[in-house]
Amino acid sequence: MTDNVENVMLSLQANTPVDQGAAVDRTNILDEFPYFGAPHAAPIVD
Amino acid sequence: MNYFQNRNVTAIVMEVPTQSIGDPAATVRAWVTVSLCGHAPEAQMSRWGLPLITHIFITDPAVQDDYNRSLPAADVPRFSQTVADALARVTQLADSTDDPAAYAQRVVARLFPTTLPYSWIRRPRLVSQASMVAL
Repeated sequence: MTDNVENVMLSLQANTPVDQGAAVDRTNILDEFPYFGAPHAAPIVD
Repeated sequence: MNYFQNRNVTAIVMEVPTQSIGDPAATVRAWVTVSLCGHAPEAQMSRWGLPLITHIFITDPAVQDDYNRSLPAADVPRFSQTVADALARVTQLADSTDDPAAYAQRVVARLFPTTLPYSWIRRPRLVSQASMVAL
């Protein structure tokens, strides 16, 4: 669940490693169901 | 009550006991749809099995609509050439393979039908960047 799916699919498309630099927020991942934490309030501003 | 009001829904998690799936050696291929329902004639508006198929592999809006209203059983005859063409075009631009068409066919064979595979024995995974090189 910590994989950046955009990196995976873009790398597959280009046949070369692509890393956009964005990372999954690991603090929101739980060890048990439902595995993801509470939904984010919108809007999210980096 | 709308639990999702003012929220971004980025994941919907459903947990099913593996024993309920059946043959542990079998591969289950999952996919979901989103449909208009209730206030209009019911119509499938979107489907999902693998991520970003209509974002990076199918770029023509008309073909995206066609894909979203179709079933995975139609993937190979209706969309494999579109995806193969996109793959060949990008790898040619990236100059990342000597044979863009052959690479495209290998990727299409791995992605199609565009459903999420799950196997009790072989845990679900897409293609990591490391294994991608081996394609």
